[in-house]
Amino acid sequence: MTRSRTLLLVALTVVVALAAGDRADGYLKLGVRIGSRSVSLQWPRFPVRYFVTDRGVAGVNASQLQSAVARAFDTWRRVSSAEVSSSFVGYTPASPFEDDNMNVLGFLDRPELERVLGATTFLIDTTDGEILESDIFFNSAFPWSVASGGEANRFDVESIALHEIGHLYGLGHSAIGETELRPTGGRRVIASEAVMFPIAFSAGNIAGRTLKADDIAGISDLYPSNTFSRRTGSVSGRVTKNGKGVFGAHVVAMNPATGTMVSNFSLGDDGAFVIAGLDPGPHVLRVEPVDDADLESFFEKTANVDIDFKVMFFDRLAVVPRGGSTSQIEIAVKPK
Amino acid sequence: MDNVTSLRVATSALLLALVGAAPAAAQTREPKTQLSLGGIWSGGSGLGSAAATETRNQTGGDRYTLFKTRSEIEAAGGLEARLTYWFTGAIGLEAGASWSVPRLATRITGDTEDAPDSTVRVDVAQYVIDGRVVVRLNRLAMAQRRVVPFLFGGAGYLRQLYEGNVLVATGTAYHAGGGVFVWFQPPRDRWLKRTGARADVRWTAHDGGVSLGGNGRRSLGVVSAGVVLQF
Repeated sequence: MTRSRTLLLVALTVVVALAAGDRADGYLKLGVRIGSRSVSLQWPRFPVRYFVTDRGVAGVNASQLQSAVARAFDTWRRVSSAEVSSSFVGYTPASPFEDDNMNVLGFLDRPELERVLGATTFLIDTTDGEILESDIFFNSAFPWSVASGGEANRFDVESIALHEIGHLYGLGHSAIGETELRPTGGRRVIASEAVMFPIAFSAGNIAGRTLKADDIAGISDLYPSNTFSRRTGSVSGRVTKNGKGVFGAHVVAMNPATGTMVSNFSLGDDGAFVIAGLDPGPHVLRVEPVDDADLESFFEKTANVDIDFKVMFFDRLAVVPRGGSTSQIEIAVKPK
Repeated sequence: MDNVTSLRVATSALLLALVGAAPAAAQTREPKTQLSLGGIWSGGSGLGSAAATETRNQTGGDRYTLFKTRSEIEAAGGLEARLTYWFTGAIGLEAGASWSVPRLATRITGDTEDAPDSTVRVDVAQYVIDGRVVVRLNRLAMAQRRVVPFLFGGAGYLRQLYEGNVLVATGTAYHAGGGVFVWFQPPRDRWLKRTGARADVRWTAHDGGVSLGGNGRRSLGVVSAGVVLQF
């Protein structure tokens, strides 16, 4: 078995950009290239056994951190269409990011990561993508809170933990969110509809404690329950521009019955996309370039992501079958 | 007796008066079996609106709207066949089947990133198999009984298939309405006893079938017209 420490994602809930040098291979599911193929990162078995560091920070002691983390794990466990579970083993003096065969969640003081609230790392089996170990750190350079209703000017541990645990399970970033550039640099979230959006809500906001349709579809696609594949469907197709595939287009499927949105990206040179975990029925498809976060939040830096096209809707309603897929959809976008 | 009961009694009495006055001789000559073939036109019906919204960063505010949608089943034409058996000169039972291909249309507006407003559609093949009670209003017949109005009400099975048959939606269709038979000649003592035409207007309620949220109920108007063959 080949084991290698692969730092896949850092700064997953940051206010703005990723730390330089980090590799992000993100879409709905985290993936890793093994030879010429790409495989999803997945835990081979459950429950995921985790430790919490025995150290707190101002306003959050170790016990409170553990409780908040446990609530976040439980939020993922309660997704009825997915099968994930976790088990708290105990407190540990160990720190996150140590190769110690333990999944450790805790605070680390990393003031140099001035826009990084938290991060998740993995130890993976590079032959098959199995996750062997994963750690999560919360940057103690920021003020934190576990208050039930949130606390002004302090970031909510449970919200950030929910996002990071999504990564721990193998989810990448979602692009369902809107941001604006800050005058001082970086981006500020205007709104988002996915816990897995790469930029966190402002301090004091606890909206990130609630999973959205996109998060639920993602975790269910990765770890489906027995009924998931029978109850939901998918839509697939290609995004093209001037007859050629578009890489990195953000495709959103909106259910006009509920208003919920689930998204994915066109991946590959042919512009192919697949959005799974959709409720059966008609969906509106909207295509946009990735413009609300740094591209490195979603793709490898070497990826040839095309952002030179206009936002548009597919000219038909895409009907998602129950337990199947609607395919052969081609969405032809136009250059800006 | 409350007002509703009074109204029902009055309505029943009116119907009896209208249907019961046909001459006995005429009733015996009425053909028993009738086949109708024709076209239908179903009116559109709204399926409601929805918006693609996101949770705003600031707490307590409204939701951020990415774009809005409004959906409807568009009006469409179709075909219908009905087989009627007249138990009396006034009362008959009718079985029918209809087919049409309305479009489910969703209007998209107000995209925050300036995607052009558009309407996206998908075809829906609709089949209805129903049964109904038909009451001929013989008392109101005109033009030497060649024009006979009628009332009807019934229910049936609704089956709607999205384009490509990728998904089926089923439900119940209830309907009530009225129309008129126009006979081209008096009944004859032949295999084909009489030919004519019919037209009717009905109010239809669908419970189930294609719906976008809500309680799955919607109503629409349907008009139909066609030829009638009596045997």
